[in-house]
Amino acid sequence: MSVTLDSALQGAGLGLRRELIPALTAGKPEAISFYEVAPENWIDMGGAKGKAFRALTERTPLVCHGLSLSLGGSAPLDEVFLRKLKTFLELHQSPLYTEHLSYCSDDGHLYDLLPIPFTAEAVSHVARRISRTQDILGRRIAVENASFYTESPIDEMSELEFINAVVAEADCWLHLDVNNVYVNSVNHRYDAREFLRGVPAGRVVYLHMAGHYKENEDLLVDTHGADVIDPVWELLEFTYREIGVHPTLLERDFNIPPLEHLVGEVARIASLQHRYQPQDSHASVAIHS
Amino acid sequence: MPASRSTPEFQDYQRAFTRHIRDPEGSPRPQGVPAARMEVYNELLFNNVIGQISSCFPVARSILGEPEWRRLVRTFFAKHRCRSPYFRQIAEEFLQFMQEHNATGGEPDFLIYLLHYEWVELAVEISDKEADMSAIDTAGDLLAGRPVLAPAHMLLAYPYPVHRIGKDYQPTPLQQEQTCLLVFRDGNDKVRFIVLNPVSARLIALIEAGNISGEHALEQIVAGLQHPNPASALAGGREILENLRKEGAIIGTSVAD
Repeated sequence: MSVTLDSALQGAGLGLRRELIPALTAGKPEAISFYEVAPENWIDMGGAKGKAFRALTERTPLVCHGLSLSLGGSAPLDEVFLRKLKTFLELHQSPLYTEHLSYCSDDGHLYDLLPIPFTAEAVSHVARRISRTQDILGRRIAVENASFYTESPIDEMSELEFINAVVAEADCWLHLDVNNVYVNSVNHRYDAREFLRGVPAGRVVYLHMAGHYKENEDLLVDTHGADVIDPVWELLEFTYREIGVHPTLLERDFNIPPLEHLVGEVARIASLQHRYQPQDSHASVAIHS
Repeated sequence: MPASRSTPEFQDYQRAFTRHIRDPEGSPRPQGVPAARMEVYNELLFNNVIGQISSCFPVARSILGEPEWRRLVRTFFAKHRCRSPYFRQIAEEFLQFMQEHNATGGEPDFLIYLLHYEWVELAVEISDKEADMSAIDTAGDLLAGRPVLAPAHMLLAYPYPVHRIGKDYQPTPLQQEQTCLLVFRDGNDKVRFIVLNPVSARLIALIEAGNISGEHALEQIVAGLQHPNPASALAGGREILENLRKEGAIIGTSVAD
């Protein structure tokens, strides 16, 4: 099993939405070092869309961020899907596959992310399913801290304890969504920085940034439909300082503005990475002309 | 009934949670979950599903009107269990549900055919079938050779002229009219449709079945029709085939053995 992160994956990336494909096909802005998609949206996709997609992924690394695996679900893991996914990851030479620490099905698919109750039995259940997924895919995967809107009355531990327990038991990576930390800190009234200090830093390999929707003072909805807000930018800086600089993706799934606008946010991520990256011999040589 | 001890407590809770999301009026909100927070999930999940479905079926939705459309999708969401992990197949799951439960109350008789036709457009657009052009002679003789259809296509027969149905044309069962259509993706990856007469439909069905020259296919049809002038029927057939090639529905002839 492959357990090191592909070194081709670095820098700042942009979520690849269909709406952006024409502009990206015309020319990829330099700030973008990689793309990310939900593999469920592209597996077996043919026609003009499939061709344009393939052309983009031949030139730029593609992270796959799944939606449908339902790691916290009770129906058996869909191994037919997992085998298709493996072929897809190999076809696009994807350096990283991540999934959500949530569930999205009962005895059928529900197509959105639901909160796993934080119990000891759930830890074992989810960890077993992650291990099985890693076995089938033949690679280590990362799981993402999901945004959620209600705590479960049967919770036996905190979200942070749950995350730590799952990644340790499954021996997987953590995909840290900085916006989700912020959203959850408001929705569930905890301190985002304290939360980040408790994250298993050694397992973090990948970060997400996004905007959200403010329903009211104590309820934020993780829509990926707006610009990143300042407190989340500050949390990203905090993360780079405390946890380290990792490949970081900007997600934008709704109200998609022109590419130039998104590239501004991607470039901002890249410049923060540069600022907090331990200086290597190349970066430390300033060239004046 | 007390929760079964064979499933962990967290799974009992999850089941109650999703049961409520699927049918907020018929299944109680799990105890201890605040109403306002539960409502976030109820709305997010239903809106996501109805959004996916609505974008595939604009004509059916406009004919039924918003309240009826929401009622149908709501019934689907509560009762159907989607097997597909792919978002783009939610529309197909809905179609399947409507075909299996064609008596949810007072929908027009043409509805399932219209839904099917609207779904076909999406299915053909994103089909992963591609031609191996090295095995195709695009200028090949369509009578002597074996014509090849555009790989992403569907040959369809409906009891209604589904392509004409809209707000202003809603046929009753007495206005049924057998309608054959070929929906295909052309060389520019555009989805197009052609209305077929029975002879053209039969011809395309024979070509679709494969490995038959245009001439043999036409001979079979002419024999079946007991046409008084087989030579002129054959010439007419050549014209049909050439037109299909011009439209992009036939991409050439097979050069394989």
